[in-house]
Amino acid sequence: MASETRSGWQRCGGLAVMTAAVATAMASVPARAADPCDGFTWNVARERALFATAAAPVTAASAAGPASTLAVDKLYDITLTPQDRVSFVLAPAKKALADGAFAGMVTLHIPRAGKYRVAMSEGFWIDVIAEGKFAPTDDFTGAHECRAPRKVVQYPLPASDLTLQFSNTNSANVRVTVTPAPL
Amino acid sequence: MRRLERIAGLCLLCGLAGAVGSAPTAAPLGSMPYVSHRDPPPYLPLSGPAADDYALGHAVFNSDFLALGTPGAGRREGLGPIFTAASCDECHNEGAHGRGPVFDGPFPNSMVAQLELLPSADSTSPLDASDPPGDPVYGHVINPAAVAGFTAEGEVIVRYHVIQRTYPDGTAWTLRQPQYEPTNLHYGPLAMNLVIKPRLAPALFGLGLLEAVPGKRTPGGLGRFGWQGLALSIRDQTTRALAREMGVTSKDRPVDDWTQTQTQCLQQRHSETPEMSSELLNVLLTFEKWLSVPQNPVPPDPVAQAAGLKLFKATGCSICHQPEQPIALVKADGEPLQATIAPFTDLATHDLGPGLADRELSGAVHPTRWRTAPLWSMGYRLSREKYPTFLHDGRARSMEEAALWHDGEAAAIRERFEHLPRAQRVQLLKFVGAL
Repeated sequence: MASETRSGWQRCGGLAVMTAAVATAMASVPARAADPCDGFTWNVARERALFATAAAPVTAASAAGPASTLAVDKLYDITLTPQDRVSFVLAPAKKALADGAFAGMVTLHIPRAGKYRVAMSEGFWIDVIAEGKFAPTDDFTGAHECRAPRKVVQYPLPASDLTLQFSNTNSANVRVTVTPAPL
Repeated sequence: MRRLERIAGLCLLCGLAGAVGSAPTAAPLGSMPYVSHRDPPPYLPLSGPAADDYALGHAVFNSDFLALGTPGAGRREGLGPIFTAASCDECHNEGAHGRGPVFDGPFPNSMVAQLELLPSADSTSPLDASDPPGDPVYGHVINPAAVAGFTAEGEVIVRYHVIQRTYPDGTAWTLRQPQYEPTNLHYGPLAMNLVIKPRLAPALFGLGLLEAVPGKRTPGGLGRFGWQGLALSIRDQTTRALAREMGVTSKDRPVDDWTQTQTQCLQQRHSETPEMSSELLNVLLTFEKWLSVPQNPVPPDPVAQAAGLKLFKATGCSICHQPEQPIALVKADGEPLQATIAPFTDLATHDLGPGLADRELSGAVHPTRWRTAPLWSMGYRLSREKYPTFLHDGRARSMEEAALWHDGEAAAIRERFEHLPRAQRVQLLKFVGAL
């Protein structure tokens, strides 16, 4: 960010300067090799690094009960099931049309209570379920054209084995990491 | 300047008159507690088919659409081929205000770059003020995404220039002046006689109530929806966004935003019927029409709010951000209803000066009128957002910055705000932040 300091309002003069600056900027519209993953409002360097590693394949469960377990700080490639064949642990918190959607559940092993981020390669809806209830989210961020990751959701989570539930996803596979949120 | 002085005098008089006006006697309609933001309630109880339509409309609102030809896509088929978002919810999360830019960089998901083509000097065609033409190549929006096999149009980068100044009492403040740079344009250059219109997704709360305010449309524009009040109805605004920002056609808008020069898009298979069926569009509109206004989850102190309202009026803010409006609507059971709502808008458009106005590609200021933004649900918004941003392009990082951007017709009001003692400025902003 550029900066300037002026005393007083001096709106008319100030605006003339601003207009000139904008004119200069907009008259030249060079093509720029923008990084599609620049758009995050959080520092997602840890997630980006994990998404550059080889993903471990995992198949999500299609019903309540035993499911593959995800550990923190590792990249997974999760295979989902057509949603009309999935019996959810809890009905997805987000209402959406399920035509052609995929879904599934995995277990999330959280070693210590704290804030964690779930990052994924698509902008899909996820729910984390703890003791039969949806875990509330802290916040989320995303970058349109980035797939490594596309969306990151932050949760305060208890130390436990929790359920991570995918629903209304548009493809049968999603890459996922779980990382402790930076302090 | 004389005109501004006259407006300032008028505003001052109106503001003082408002300060001694009577307080509302009945609770305004529309405000509801949001137990879960994922389950936004209607502002009146719905039952039977109306409740079913509201629930289905909510699901449609939340649904990601998929490219034509996606196996099993069913009712979700029709996204793109070029688009900004795959669902309504992607920009208006559960009806909420979009998240604006926090730093320099590409536009966030909730922000679009609209384009308006200025008439050429020798043009004789009448201009449709409510729906001006877009770029001859890129259409009305620079869409940054595309379905597989197609090329996105490009993106827009925002860069901020910080302006530092002081209040008359010596307190420092800063604003960030945005500069917009279209980049990675994959279909050639933009037309030079073009206006770039960055627009952050506004909240959709209480839209049906705003539509129920009787009377003519805005004096400065034609409609009452969108940042400039250009859309005539919720249906008009919704079908525009579906076609231009999602690439989803409807009976009202049978073509997407791509143009005849984008030959790649012309090669796409086109469905003979609208991509969003009339049935689905109607339930989507039902959801938007009945969506309520979320109450502040932290109930404010009524005494402090009454004092804040008095100051809000005395400062002149209420001239445009009118606290209340009458409405006349028909309930879902067919019964007519007359009531009052508290949107804090006059639904009119105003010239807020060159600093906020859109810019032409040349950098020249494009005279722009803005519909007074409703202030209701501000408390809910502030309770949910870590980095809230305000105004049409999210340049303001606080309500204070938004107030300081007001100029043009609102210059005198801003100056009154600037001259308030610091404690009163804080009081006024707290009042708005608790609405």
